[in-house]
Amino acid sequence: MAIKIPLIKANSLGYERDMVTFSVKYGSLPNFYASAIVDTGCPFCIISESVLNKTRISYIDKPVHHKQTWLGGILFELKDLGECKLFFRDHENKSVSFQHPLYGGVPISLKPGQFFLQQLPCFIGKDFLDRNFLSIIKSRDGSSYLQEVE
Amino acid sequence: MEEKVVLSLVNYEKDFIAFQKQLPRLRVTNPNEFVAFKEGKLVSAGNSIELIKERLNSNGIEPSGTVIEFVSKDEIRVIV
Repeated sequence: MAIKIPLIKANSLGYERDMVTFSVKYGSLPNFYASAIVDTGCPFCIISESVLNKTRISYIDKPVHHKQTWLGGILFELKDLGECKLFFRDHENKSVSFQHPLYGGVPISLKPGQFFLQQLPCFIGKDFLDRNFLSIIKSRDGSSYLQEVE
Repeated sequence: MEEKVVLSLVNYEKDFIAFQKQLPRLRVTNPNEFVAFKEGKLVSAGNSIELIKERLNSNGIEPSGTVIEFVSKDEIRVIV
């Protein structure tokens, strides 16, 4: 049966977005949980620094994947967190899991008072959708899904 | 193990939706603070994630499984 993961319509950075909650198993640490914008325009899956700060992942020393990455006028480094196991809830409340590389999005152009930086979301990017043959499906009843394409 | 993850995901999603619903009010009561939501309720608020983590840990709540979000005083709009 095709994978079907419900999306949430939620406000992030001032606009309604298609978002999803998920869990990540990183090494031997307990799973961490996050919400992310599903963004076909984002090439990678990015975990925000504020989410990383909830965990015990020591991301500062991780290798930098891309040094100069801009997002909304903010300069970032993408820290390579490696392949992780991601868990989602499908429409039947069953677990679906994927192995996928994750990157930590760490702002490097911090200025005092840039509250925007504190609320940067995570992103589920195009690489994840492509690798797992998932598309964003809009139903007529207003609900949205990430659905596996047959 | 996977059943536990699904249950935690359902609860996390409920807490995230609860945070979203309360966001307009939080901009007034907790401007420019981090807030933590558990079981649909605000359980901690403060100026840093480290402070929130300390409080959650002292209450036996695992921070990595908790909705912790920043509440900006004014809504910021970004096109990504």
